[in-house]
Amino acid sequence: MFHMYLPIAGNSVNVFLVFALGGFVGLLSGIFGVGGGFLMTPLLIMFGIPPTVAAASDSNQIVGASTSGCLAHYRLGNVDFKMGILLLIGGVLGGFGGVQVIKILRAMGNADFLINVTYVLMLGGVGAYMFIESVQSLRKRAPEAGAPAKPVKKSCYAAMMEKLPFQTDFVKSGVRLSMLMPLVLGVLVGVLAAIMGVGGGFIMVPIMVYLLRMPMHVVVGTSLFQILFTCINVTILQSYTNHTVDFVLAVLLLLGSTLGAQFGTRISRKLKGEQLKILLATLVLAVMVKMLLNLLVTPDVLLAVTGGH
Amino acid sequence: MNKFAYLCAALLAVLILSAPAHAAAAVKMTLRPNLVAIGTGYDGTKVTITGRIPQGTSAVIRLLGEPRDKTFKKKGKALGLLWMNLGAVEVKGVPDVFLMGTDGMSDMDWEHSDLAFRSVKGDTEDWLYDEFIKLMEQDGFYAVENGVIQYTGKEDGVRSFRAELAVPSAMHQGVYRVEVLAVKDGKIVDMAAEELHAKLVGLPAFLAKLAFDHSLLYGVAAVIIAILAGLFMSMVFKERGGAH
Repeated sequence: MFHMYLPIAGNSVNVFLVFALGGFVGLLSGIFGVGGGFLMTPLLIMFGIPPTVAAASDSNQIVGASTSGCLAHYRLGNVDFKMGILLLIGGVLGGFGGVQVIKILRAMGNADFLINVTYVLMLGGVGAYMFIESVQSLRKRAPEAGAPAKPVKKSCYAAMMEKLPFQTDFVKSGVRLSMLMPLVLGVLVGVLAAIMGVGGGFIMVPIMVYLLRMPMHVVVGTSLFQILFTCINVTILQSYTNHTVDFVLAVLLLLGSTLGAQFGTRISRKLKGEQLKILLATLVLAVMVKMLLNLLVTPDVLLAVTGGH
Repeated sequence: MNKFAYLCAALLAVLILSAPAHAAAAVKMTLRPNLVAIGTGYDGTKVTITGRIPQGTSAVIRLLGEPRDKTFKKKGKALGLLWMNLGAVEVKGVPDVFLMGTDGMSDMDWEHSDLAFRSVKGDTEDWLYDEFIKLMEQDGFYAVENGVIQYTGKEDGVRSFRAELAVPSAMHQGVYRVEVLAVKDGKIVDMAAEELHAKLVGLPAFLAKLAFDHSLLYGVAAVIIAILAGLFMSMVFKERGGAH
C-alpha cells in the first residue's frame, strides 16, 4: 500500500483510500450540487484526521470539486449566474449575522446543543418533505399523461411573491420573481451556515427547489456556483486564522472529487428531476439519522476531541 | 507532573540501587535509529533498542512524547436523553504518545501497572483519566505491546536484550524519550534513557513551514491550485467529446 504523510494533520494515510473517498463525495457533488461538506468531514474524522483539519481541508477540496462541477453544468446550460450571485451576496451578509448569533449562543452556554438539535430537525424536515413531495409527483404523472392539464390554483405563497418589488426574469431558471427573494433566503442560509458550521449546501438546494421554484438541474449547477465562492472564503480564512488546511490531504481529495464530479454531472443529466430529489432526500435523511443516533446512543468514550465541523 | 514522575522513578532507582552491598550492574541501552525522518512516504517505522540489564530483572521499554496539556469536550446527557458535548475539560502534562514494550513472559498486567499509563496521570481525576486512556488507545497513541523484547544472552551478572518497537504513523515533529527499565517484582531497579528525534523533511517540512509562517499565502495558493485542478479536469473531460 502506498501511504503519504499529511504534514498538517500529522498522520499518514493510504493514498488510494483518500482518492476513493474524494471520488465518492465528488460524485454526489456532481449529482446533487451539494459540496459534500457534511459527508466528507465525518468520513475524514473516521479515518483518523483531526476534526479541525478535516473541516478546513474539506473546504479546500470543495473549491476544486465545485469548479469542475460548476463548469460542467455551465456547459449544459445549468447555471443561473444572476440567481447565484444574489444568493451569494445574501449568504455573505447572513454569514456575518450568523457569527453574531453564535457569539450570543456561546455566551448562553448552549451553542453546541442548539446547533445539533437544529441540524437534526432541519435535515429531518427538509429530507422528509422532499421525499414525500417527489414520490407524489412521480405518481401523479402516470395517470395524468393523457388528461388535459388542470388549471393550477395559485398558492398564497406565489401570490405574495408576485407582489414584491424588483420583479425580474431569471432566464436560466425559467422563473420570474423579485430580486429580494434570493437575497433574503441567501441571508437565512448564511446565518444557518455560520451556526451549523457547514457550507449550507443542504439547505440551499431545497430552498432553490421549493421557495425559488427553480428546476432541479439548474439548482444543481447554481448551487455549485454559490458553494465555490463560499468555500474559497472559508479555505483562506481557515488557513490564515487556524492553520488547519492540510494541502496534501486537500489535493488527494481533490483529484478524486473532480473526477467524481464529472461523472456525477452526467448522471444528473440522465435522471429526472423527481428522481434527483428522491435520492437527495434519502441522503439527507440518512445523514439526519446518523446525527440523531449520535445524540441518542451512549458513546464509547465520554470525551470528544475539541474542534467541530 | 511528568518530570515529577521521572524524578520519583530516578530517586527510587537510586535508593534501591544503593541498598544492597553488592551493586547491580547498570542498565545500558543503544537506540537505532535515534532520528526518525518524517517525509512524504512516512507510514510509521520501527526503532531497535539493544542493551543489557542486571541478571534477575526483566526489561520494559517505554517511548514517551513530550508532556502536553490537552483539552477535550466532556460528553454528557442533556435533558436526560440526548448525548451532548458539554463543558471543556483539561488533562495536564500528559505525553501525546506512550508506547510500552515488554518481554511478555510474566503474568504481570502491564497495562494497569504503575509503570504504564498510570505513571503519568498526575492530578487528573480518575474518571477523566480513564476516558482519556480509552481515547488514546482507540487512536493508537497509547499502546502496550507484549513480547517485543527478546533476551539474547547472559554473562557476568547481566543479560542482553534486543527489542523492536513499532512507532505509529501519527507522529509529530519533536523529541521523544525512550526508556529501558530493569524491573524486578514490579519495581524499577534501574533505568536508562535516550532521546528519539522526529523531524519533518522534504515536502512535509516545506508545507508545514509555509502553513504556519506564511498562512495567508498558503491559503490563497491552496485555493488557486484547487481551482486550476478543477479546470484541468473539466478540460480533460471536455476533450472526450460527446456532450450529452
